[in-house]
Amino acid sequence: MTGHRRTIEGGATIVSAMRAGIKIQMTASSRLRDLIVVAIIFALAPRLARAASVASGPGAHAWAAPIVQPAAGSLTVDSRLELLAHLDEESVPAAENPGNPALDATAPEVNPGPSADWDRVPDDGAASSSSNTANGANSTALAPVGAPSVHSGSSTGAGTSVAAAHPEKSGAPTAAKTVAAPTGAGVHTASLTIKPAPSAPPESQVPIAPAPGMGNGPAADANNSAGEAMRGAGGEDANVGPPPALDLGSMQSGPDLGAASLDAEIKKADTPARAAALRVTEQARIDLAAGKTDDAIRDLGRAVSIDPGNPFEYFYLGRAYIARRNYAQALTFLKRAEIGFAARPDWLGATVGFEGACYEDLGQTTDAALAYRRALGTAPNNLTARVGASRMAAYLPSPASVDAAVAPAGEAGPPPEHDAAGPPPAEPPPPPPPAPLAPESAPKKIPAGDYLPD
Amino acid sequence: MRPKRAMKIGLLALCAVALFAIAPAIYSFISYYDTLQQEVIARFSGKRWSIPSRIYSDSVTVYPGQRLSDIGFFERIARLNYHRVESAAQVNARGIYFYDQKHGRLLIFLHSFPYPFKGFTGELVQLKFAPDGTLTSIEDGGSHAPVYSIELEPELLGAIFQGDWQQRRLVPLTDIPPAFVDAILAAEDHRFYEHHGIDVMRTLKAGWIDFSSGHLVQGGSTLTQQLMKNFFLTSKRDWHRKVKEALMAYIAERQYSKDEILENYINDIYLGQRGQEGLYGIWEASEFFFSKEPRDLTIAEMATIAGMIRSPNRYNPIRHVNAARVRRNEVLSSMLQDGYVSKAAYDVAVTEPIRARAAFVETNDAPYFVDYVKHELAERYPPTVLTGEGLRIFTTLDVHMQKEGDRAITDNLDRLVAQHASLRRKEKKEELQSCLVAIEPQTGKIRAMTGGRDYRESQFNRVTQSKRQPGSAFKPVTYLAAFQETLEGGPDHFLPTTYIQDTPFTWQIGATNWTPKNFKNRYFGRVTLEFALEESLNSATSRLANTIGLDRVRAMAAKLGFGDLPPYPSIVLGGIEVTPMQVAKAYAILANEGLEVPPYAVSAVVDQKNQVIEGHELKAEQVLSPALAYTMDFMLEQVIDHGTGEGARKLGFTRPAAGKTGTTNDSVDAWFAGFTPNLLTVVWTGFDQKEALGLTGAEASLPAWTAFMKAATAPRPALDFGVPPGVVVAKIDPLTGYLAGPYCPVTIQGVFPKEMAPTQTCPFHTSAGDGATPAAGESADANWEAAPDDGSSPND
Repeated sequence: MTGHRRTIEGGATIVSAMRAGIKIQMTASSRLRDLIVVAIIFALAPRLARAASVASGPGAHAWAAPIVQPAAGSLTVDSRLELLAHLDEESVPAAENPGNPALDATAPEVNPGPSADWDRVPDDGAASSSSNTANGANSTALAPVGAPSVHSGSSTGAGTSVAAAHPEKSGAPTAAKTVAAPTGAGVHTASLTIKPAPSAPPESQVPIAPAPGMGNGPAADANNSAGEAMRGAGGEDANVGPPPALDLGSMQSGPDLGAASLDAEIKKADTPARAAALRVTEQARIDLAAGKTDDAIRDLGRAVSIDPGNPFEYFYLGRAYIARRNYAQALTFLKRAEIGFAARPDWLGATVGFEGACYEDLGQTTDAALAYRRALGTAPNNLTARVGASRMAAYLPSPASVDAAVAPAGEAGPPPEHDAAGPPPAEPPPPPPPAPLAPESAPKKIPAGDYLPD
Repeated sequence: MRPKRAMKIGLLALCAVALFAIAPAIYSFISYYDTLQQEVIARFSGKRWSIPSRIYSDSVTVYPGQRLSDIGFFERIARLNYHRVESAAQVNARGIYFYDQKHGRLLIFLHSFPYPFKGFTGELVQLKFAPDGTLTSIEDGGSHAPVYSIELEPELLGAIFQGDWQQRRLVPLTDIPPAFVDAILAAEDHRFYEHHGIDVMRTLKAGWIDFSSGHLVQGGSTLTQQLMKNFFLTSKRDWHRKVKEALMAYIAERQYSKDEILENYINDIYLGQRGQEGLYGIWEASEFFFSKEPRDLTIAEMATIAGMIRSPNRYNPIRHVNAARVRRNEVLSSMLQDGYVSKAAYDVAVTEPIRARAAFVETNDAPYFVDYVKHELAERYPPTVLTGEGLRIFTTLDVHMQKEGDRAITDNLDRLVAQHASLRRKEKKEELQSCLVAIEPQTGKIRAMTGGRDYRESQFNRVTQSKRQPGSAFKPVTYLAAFQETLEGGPDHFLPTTYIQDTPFTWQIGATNWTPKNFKNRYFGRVTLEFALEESLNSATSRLANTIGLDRVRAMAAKLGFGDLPPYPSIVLGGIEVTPMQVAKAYAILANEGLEVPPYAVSAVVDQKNQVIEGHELKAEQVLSPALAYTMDFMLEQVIDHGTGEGARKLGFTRPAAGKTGTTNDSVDAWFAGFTPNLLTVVWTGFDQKEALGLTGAEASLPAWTAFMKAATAPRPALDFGVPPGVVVAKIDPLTGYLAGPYCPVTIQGVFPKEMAPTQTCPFHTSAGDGATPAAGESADANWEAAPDDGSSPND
C-alpha cells in the first residue's frame, strides 16, 4: 500500500538488472570490447555447454581459469553466473562512431585465449573475438571462478553491427557513447539473460579436446569452434534441425520492452482504469529497475486491483518474482500475462522469453527450449529468446513435437467468431468434428413458465 | 516532692506517652509513603498505557474517469472527517474541502497518513468534474501540475482492546509546540514549574470555596495531581482521595522531572469521545477536532483543546461551539496574563472562528469483517499484543462496497419477508438470514463481508462459520472434471456442446440405488452439457458424473478447495456442507483464469513506530488451466444470460458476468455465486434452524447479488472474459455439429479446444427449405434455448 498522491514523470529509459544481486557498472570505453565478448559468447554458449558437460562430467563444478577480464567498473555476479546484459543502441552519427567493429559471423575469428586482454581487441571493427571458460556439469562458459563477468552487447541490422553495453542503475539512463549502425537506425534496446547452460543430454555430448592452458579445456575448444557456433548455434547434434542462428551481423535486436517506459501504453489506454493501472504499473517498473522489488510487488498488487485485465501488471509481477528468484511464481504470472498479450506479438515474445528463463532456472530444460522457440515464433527479434533458444537448442524434443509446441503463442489470438458469412458450400464437406454429437432429434423446448431444477 | 519537679516528671511522662502514641502513626505514615512511592515508580518506569490496536479499511484510489458517486466519494470523506467550507480561500488546512458544484470543482486538502510502507503528507489538490459527476482531472492545488491519482486514506473500522476503547497516540514532549504547553499550563496549572506537586495557595483557595459551599465544588489540583488521579485513583471526590493524590504528586515531583510529568500528562489526558472510541492525549484530540498534528495547530486551536481539559464534553468544539469559544477565550486571556502570548497574537486568536460542523457519528461499518480479522490475527498474535501494543492493522475492506452489501442483504430480506408470509418469524433469533461475501479474484482481497441480517442480534458470521449444502452451486465441479480430460487430451471428449441424456436415471453403488430427480420432475431428453448446466438439470449432471466417475469429481473438488469429499454420488449435486467462503474461493479460481489467489483480509500490520510487522504480497497458483477455467466461465455466462440466473439481466445487470444458482432439497438453502471478470460475490439465504424456504436461489439470493453487483462494479472497468490461447468460441448448428450457416434453424455458441473446433459450415441447411427459414432480419443466431416456441423463458 503506497497510498498518496503520485505524479509520474514518464519518458525515462530505465534498464535494470533483472536479478537482484547483479549490479553492473561499466564505463563507456569498456562497452565495445564487452559487446564483442558477449557476442561471441552467445555464439559459443551452446557448444561450450555441451563441451563443458562432457569434459567435466557429472557433479563437477570446477570453473576454468579466468579468460574474460571484467570491464572497468564494478561487477558483481551471483554464484549461479546468471548474467544479464543490457544492450542499448542509440542512434549516433557515424562520425561519432570511429570504431564500428563488426561482429558478424564473417569476421575473422580471434581467440584471445585464457588470458585474453580485451583491450587488445582491434578497434577497427575488423575482428571479433571469442572466448570462454570451461565449466562443470551445470555451469556455463563465461567467467572466472568467484568473479564472473558481465558482458553486454547489442547489434543493429544492416550488415554491420555494433554493440554498446551500458547497464544502468537506478533507472537513470546511461549515455551510450559507442556505437552505431551506419544507417543511424533508431534506438534498440535489448535485454539478455546469459546463464550457464545446463549440461546437455548424453546423446548430444560431443567430446572436445581441451585447449592449451585451459585445464579441462572444453571452453578452449569451444573457442576454436566459434565460427561454427556462430553458423549453427545448436550444434551439429541438435536433433531438431538448425537452431536459431546467432548471426549477430544480420541480427536485429528488438527493444527491451520491459525496460522501456509505459507512457505510450498509458496514452493509448482505452479506459480510465487501464490508464490508472498502467501508471501504477509504470511506478512499479521504475521501482523494479531501482531494485525495489518489494515496493514493485506492492504497487503491482494495487494495479491488479484497479484493472485486473491489464497484462502489463502480470508481466512485471513475473519480472519481480524473477528478481526474487521465485521462478515458479514468476512463471505463473508470466503465463497470465501471456493471455493478455495474445494480440501483442512483441510483448508476447518478451513474456514467453522470460518464461523460458524461468523454466531454465527451474531445471525444466525442454520446457525452456520450447518456450524460447515459441517466443521466437512470435517475436523473432527478441534477443533473450534468441540467446536462450540457442543455448537450449540441444534440449528440444523431436521436430514433430517442436512444431506442435512452438506454434506462435499469439496464434490463438482473439477468438474467431465463426459466423457463417457466405453461402453454404455446394458439396457437403466431410463429416463434422466429433465433439458436438449429431442429435437424433431436435432439442426439446422448455415448457413455458416452469422453473427448472436448480 | 516539690511541685516543680512533679510538673517536670509529669511533662516527661506526658511526652513519653505522646511519643508512644505517635510513633506508630509515624511508622504507619512512613510505610504508607513508601508504598505510594513504590507504586508511583512502578507506574512511571513500567508500561503506562495499554494502547488498542486499530483496524483500518483499504485505501481508495481516485483517478480521472471515475464517477465519484460510484465510489461514494463524498460519504467517504465525511467518514474520514473532512469538513466542508464555504470558499476556496478557507481551504488552508488539512481535512478541509470546498466543493463548487456549479463549476464542477472540488478543492481538498488531503490528510496526512502514515501508510504501512511510507508516509504521506497531506497536500492540496483540485478535482474537476464533468456535469455528470465524472472526474475529468486532478491537479496540484498550488502548481496546477497534473496529478494522475490520489488516494483517500483508510477508514477506521474498529479496534482491539480490553475494557474501554482508550485510543491514544504517544507523542514526546519535544514534538509538542511550546505554545501548546503554555496553553495547557495557562488553562490548568500556571504555577506548574513553581510548585512541588501541590499548589498550596490554590488548594487552600479551593478548600475555602468547598467549605463555604458545604460540598466539594472545586478541586484545585495541579497537573501532577491530575496525572496521579488518572494513573492511580478514581474520580470520586473525597478528602481521603485528595490526600492520597497530593502525596503521590509530591512523590512524583521528587522522583521525576517536570518535563517527564508533563509528557505523561499530555499523553494521558482525556479529551472527548468519537463514537465508542475515547480520545486520550492531545495528539488524538488535534487529529480529530482539527485534522492536524499538534505542531500544525494555531494558537486559538491549541487554546481550544487546552480549554477542553476541564470538561471535554461541555467544551467540545464540534458540538458546543459557543461554550468552546468562551472557554477558549478564557484560556487565551490566561495566556496573555501569564505572558505566553503577545497582545497581537492574542487579538488574532480570539477572533478566530470555531467552525461548527456536523458531528460524525462513528459506527462500526463492518462488524462481521472486523470479527473475522480479529479471529485471523488471534492466531498469530497474543492477546496482550493485540490489545495493548497499539498495532495498526490494514485490511482489504472497501467500506463503500461493504455498505452496499449490507444494504443489498437487508433490502432483499425485507422484500422476501414482505412478499412471503411463510418466511416471517416472531423470534428475532429465528428470522430469515442471509450473508454475502465479495472478493477480488485476481488479488484475493475480501472487499465486503456481511455475515448476517443484523450484527446486534446475531454475531454468528454465516460467511465463515455456517456450513450449508451448496446444492447446484456445486455442479460446475462435475462439469469441470468432465472437461478437464478433454482439454488435456484424454480419451473422453466432453465439451459444452456435447449431448447427454436428461432422463430419469439411477446410479447404482453396490446394493444402493440413488435416483436424482429434476426440479418438478421435468426431463428434457437429449440436451447439451451447456444446456444442462444452464438449466441446472440434476439428472443430466448426475449422469455425466456417473460417466466420468466419482473420483474425478472428487479430485476436482479437492483442487477447488472443497477438501476430500466422501465417495457418495449425492456430492455431485452439492450434497456436502460448505461455508459460503469456501464456495467463494472455488468460484474465484474460475473468475481468475484458473489461478488461485487465496482470499485474505489483512494486508499489513504495523507497530506504533510504523514498522511493518507483516505485509501481504500477491501470489498465485495455477490450479486449473486457463482454457478449462474459461470453458466454465463461458457456460456460467450462459446461466446468467439465459439460464437460471437470467433474473440478473432482468434486474438490469448488463455487464459480462457468470454465475450459478444453488438450491438444496426442500429449498432449505438458496445460493447465488457469480462473478464478473473483476469481482466475485456469493450470497446465501436461509434459516439458521434449517427450515424450508420454499424459494430457489434465483428467487431468494439472486436479487441481492444483482443489487450488490450493480453498485459494486460501477466504478470498475467493464471487462469481458478473456479467451485464453488454445480454445475458440464458435457458433455452431447444434443439430449437425457444423459451424452454423445462414440457413441453420438454430445455433448455439460453444467453446472448443482449438484442435477440436469445427471448421466447416453446416452442409445440411443450404437453403431456406432445409430448415426453419430465417425471417427477414433474423439470422440463424436465435438461441433455441433462450427462445422457446411459446416465447416464454425458462428460469430458476
